[in-house]
Amino acid sequence: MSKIAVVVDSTSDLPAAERERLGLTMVPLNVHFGDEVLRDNLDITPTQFLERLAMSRQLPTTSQPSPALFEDAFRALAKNHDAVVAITLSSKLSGTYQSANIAAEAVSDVIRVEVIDSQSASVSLALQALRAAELAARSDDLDAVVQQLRAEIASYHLLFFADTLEFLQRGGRIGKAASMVGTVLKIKPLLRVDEGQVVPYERVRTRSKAIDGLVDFVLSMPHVGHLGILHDGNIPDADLIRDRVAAKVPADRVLYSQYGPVLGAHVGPGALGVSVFEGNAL
Amino acid sequence: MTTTDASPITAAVWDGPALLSALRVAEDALTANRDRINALNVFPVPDGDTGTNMALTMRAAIDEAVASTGGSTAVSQMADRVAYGALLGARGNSGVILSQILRGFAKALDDADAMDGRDLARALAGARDTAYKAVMKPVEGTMLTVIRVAAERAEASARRTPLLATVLDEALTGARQALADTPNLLDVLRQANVVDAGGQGIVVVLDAIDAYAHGREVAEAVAPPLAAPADVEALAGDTHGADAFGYCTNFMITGSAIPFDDVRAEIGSRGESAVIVGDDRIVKVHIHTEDPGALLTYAVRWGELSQIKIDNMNLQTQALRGDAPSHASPTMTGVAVVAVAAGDGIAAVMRSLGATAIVAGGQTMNPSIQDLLSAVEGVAADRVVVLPNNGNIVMAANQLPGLSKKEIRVVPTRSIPQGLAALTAFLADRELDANAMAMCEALGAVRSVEITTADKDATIDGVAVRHGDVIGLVDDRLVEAGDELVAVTIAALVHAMIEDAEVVTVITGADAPVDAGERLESALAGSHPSIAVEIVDGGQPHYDFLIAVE
Repeated sequence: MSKIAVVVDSTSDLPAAERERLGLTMVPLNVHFGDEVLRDNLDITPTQFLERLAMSRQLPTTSQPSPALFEDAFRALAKNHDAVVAITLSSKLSGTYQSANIAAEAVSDVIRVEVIDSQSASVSLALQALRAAELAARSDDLDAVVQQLRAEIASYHLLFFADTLEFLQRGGRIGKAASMVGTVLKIKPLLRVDEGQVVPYERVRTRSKAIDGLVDFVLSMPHVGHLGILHDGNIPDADLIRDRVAAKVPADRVLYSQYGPVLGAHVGPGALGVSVFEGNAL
Repeated sequence: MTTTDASPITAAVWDGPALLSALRVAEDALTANRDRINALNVFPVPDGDTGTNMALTMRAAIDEAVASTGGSTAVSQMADRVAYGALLGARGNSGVILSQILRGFAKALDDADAMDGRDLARALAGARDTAYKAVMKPVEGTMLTVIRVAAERAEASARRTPLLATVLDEALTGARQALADTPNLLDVLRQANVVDAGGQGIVVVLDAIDAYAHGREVAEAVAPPLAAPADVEALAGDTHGADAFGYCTNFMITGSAIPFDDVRAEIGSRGESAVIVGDDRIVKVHIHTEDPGALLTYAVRWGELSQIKIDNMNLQTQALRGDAPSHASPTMTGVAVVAVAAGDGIAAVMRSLGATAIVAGGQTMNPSIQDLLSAVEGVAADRVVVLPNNGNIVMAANQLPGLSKKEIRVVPTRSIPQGLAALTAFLADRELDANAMAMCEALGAVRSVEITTADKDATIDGVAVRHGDVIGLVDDRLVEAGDELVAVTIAALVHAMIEDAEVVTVITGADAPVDAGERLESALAGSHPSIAVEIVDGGQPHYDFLIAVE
């Protein structure tokens, strides 16, 4: 048992099996349908969510976990760990980081918690959490682990496209990519998460061009140490990307991630993306 | 509301159950105003809907307090239970801050059995301090400002009277004024012409508590946003509300050993809507005052003044009430696009994709180089991409780089569909050459289909055409002639290899039959169901359909 525990929020959408294998603790955000509040991935699965989204006239909204939820997780871990590193999605996209910080301070007399702002989201957050688990398994020096994780944040690059900008626009997370909204023609926007914010990368008209854009992005990287592929359950499209970059990235360095309800509320159905980690495997 | 209100006051001091009753009224008010508070949200929002989140947080706070009754009736213990419930149930940023407000409120009550006006002022001050600490980078113009001003007013009032209802009145008045001022402190609010949603939530809560104290109806109804965010341009500029008066005065004092609390109190007493932050070395001031000169004379005693900005709000108010504000010309820091187009609809599509200026022209009305040059010189950017959008205009466009000091790249689009494909690849904040390259590459992925009417008998490219026939061209090559618009169009699309296409964009002309677009759409839905078809009213002359096949 590692002395350093790793906590990550549910927007990492790490598969449960992967979390259990590495002993990661997941704290869920919430998705709201009107007054009904559901915990991300726990009370509603990604597939159930997309089905409900298709039926619902009302668009869902999301909210960060309460500080108490993080606090509970930290206190539980304090029983058999010396320290916690908690990684959250970008503080510019959500208050989750803030909740985690409030909780970290509240438990400071019980256990030391370092909260890291991933400045990214989704499968980039998942790759960072896996990295944290690997580092924590090899070291019990919290400062060293945290320092390395923070130093590597800029090495994760998330590029994705949404089938429509509607959800990102209504969710308010579109940031600088707002310039892509309001076109008379329907477009497929390729978006990047850069320094924690969503920024425009490229506009194309068709899904296949958008997939080309993702593939070209991966192939343009000098080095790919770990690749994440974000999908909505559409495995054939994820396979297509994996196969087209196979010369650059061996299949065992590829993580598939089906995005969950909270991310789904912001990107809608049909989104696809890649996250590149430029660093080297341990 | 006045402090001499004749309405009955429930009690001089509140115990725990009284506080709970007041908070129940507050929860009802939040729930009643939930949608209207939600509507105040402007992006970028940190998380979710403010009204919903605050109402749910308050409900959780009260549920917890009710569930754990049976203990003491001390106001401090009730506040503790409420605060605990809020922390458990906090949703969204606004809910988290509300929970911190309740936590600070409870903490400051210490172990008081009952609460009078002075206790309330102390509790609000505690609420303010805890809320500010919970936020890593406190931003003024948010609910923090509203709770802070409320606390300050309550503290000032409590120095004069221990009456709970009176102190509450003052806190509410302060909160309302601070709320009204939030658009002056936060650009994003001003641009959207709304007050801060979380601040509005705080005002709703304080109003409800105050109403309970006086035994009156809850007054606070949230006004809808004054204007939709789409009206941003018309409202840009450093203006205050239509009823603002005096001088909006901003400055900074830099000194040493500034008695900050005294200075803040003194400056604050000289005007309205004060936001004064700082410490013993730097004090930053925003205030509306009738006499900025006297204020600066006072301030300069404590150190050097800088960042002095004084605006006459009376004049701004008059300007707001007078003529419609003039639109300043947009300032472009990136790359601009000048595109040639005929037809209002096409121009609108091109503008929506980022074209800065449209030069009227096309097949039978080629613009002059001077027309193009004027448009290039007229845009506010020094780097310009030009899209001729017609084979007959490409050469004219190619002359532009030698005639202007601006950096110009011509992307040789030979048709409107090519122009749309190029514009789709355009991003205003990308380098000029990177844009030009991406836009040129995009041309390779689109085939242009043009449907028009033959104006003479001819045989072209092996196709016999009679005067009046509908004819179809693919990338400037005649491929089809016939007498029925949709049939000819479908045939031309087959020549354009529609079976490989993913998106077909159909731009209907000014002279096309009204139902032509619909008929084509349903025909394509039957023959090629997997293709996305988009119909746009282009309004161009001569061409019934301009079609981009991608």
